[in-house]
Amino acid sequence: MVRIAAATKALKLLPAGPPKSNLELTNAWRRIITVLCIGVVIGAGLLYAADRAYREILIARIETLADAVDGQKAASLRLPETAEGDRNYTYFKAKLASIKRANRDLRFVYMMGRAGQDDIYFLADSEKPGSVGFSPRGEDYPEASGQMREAFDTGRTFIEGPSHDSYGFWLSAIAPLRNEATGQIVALVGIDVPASFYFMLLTIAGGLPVLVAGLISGIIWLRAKGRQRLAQGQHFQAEMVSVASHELRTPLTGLRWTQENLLAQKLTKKQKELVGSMYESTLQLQENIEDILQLASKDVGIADRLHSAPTDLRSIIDSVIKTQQLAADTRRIRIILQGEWPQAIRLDADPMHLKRAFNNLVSNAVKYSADGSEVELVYANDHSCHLVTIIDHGIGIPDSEQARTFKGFYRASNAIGSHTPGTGMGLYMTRNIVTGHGGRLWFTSTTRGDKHGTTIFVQLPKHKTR
Amino acid sequence: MAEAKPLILIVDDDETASHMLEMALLEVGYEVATAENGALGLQKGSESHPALVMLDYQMPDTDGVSVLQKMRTEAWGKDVPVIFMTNAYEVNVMNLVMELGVHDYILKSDVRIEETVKLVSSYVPAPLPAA
Repeated sequence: MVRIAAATKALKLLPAGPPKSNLELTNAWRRIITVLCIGVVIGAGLLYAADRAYREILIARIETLADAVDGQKAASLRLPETAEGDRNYTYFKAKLASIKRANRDLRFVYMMGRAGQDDIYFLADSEKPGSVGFSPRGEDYPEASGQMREAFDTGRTFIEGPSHDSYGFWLSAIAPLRNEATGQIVALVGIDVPASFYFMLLTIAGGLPVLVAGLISGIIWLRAKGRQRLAQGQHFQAEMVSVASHELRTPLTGLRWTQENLLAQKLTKKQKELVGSMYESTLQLQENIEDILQLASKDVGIADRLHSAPTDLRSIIDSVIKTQQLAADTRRIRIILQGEWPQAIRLDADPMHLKRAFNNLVSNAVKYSADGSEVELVYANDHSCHLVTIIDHGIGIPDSEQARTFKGFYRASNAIGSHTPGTGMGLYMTRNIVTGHGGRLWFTSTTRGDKHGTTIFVQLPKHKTR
Repeated sequence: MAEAKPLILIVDDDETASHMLEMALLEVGYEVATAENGALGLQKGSESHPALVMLDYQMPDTDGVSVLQKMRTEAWGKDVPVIFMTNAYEVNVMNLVMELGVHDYILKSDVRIEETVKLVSSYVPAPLPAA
């Protein structure tokens, strides 16, 4: 109960940093509007192209038809009626009806004449005499368009419609017929086609890109919402890790500082051993908690959380050795600096994370060392890098398992057998910290002979490389 | 003729940590005042004019950042060295308090008590040598 209350309190203390979810949705809207605009533009283009193509096809059809009609014969149909005209009327009635039969999509096939400048009348059509659509020879067609009247003068083939009447929507294709001998336009031949296919074509051509754009927009929106939810989830997770960090570390700090104060007192050998072993367990507990916290926040990416500043690696190493030595004392293990170590080792780094990394490495070395042995730290450098080598004479990592060492939750089989505690996250995390600094971490290890043990190499750039 | 001992003010709601720090600081000769929340910290600061303030970040009433902002506007706290302490590593908070002029920033779980005392003495020399 108390802990929950404390955690709630701590949660209230957290700085409210909302995830970038609104930005995500704003960006999604921008993309959706762009995609829809592109869809509409492509749709309009295809609509125009489909309309043009369909009209071209109708023009080609009526021109082919007109070519097959004898213009001179057609001229004889004109009023006033003549004997030749009457004969030819029967011929054209049959011809137009057969054209209609052969082209099932045609509603009417007809021939028109002009009297004077403006009066348009039927010369012949494809319909049976007496049927609803039938127009007798000579019947006026007052609905004739200006375009139709002018075609007798211009000789232009043209398309009309879509227009609407009692038969529904339709398109008309009309071509002039010439008397081949005189070159004079003597009649027009026309076909009426229901507009249903034309409308379907335009709907598909214009609508499909808009539909696809709509679908893409939907996907963009859903993905943005998904990312927003993920970001909110990650934000919540980060908050929880932060609360957990505070709540777990606070009592640990108290515990550790109390033991450190106690170790600084005048104690008997036995007392010192007891407190030292308590301290060792506390450090282990702290390491495990840090590993778990690190794991819980690992998808945030350690590199994003490093805070580089001018740092002294030497003081970090000294502090790590002092801390770990307090625990190592109980097993008479000595942690020593070998070779030349400068008074200060300058680099750009995140001191807290770097300290954690070295704490992990040295604590590992101590953990797997034999009682009474030594853990050695060696320093070297070149113009761009520092190299710290940590050598232990412990149990080593079996050859067959070395490749898996840096994976999370991995512990070597002989480490598990040695009854030493650990989560198996230490090396994984440590390597993330080192690589997050632009450095490298590698090791050599042997489990056999007198030279058994592990040597870890930590290479860190002197200056920030990111 | 005994010189006045420098006073260190610890503002931290974690009583164990605060008490341990007090013990360690007393051993090297500092005088120590403690406050378990931000408001009390500000009150004790203005009354006692400490030589250095150790300020915890996460406290139940007023957090360390607010205390820091407030004390920087008061005569006693304008220039006094501040060591900021926290138990959660947060880069944003670290950047913020660095801008507000803290002298040091420690992750309590990462430092030994002896190191903390050493850090204090680097700003306000300890009257007695460390044991």
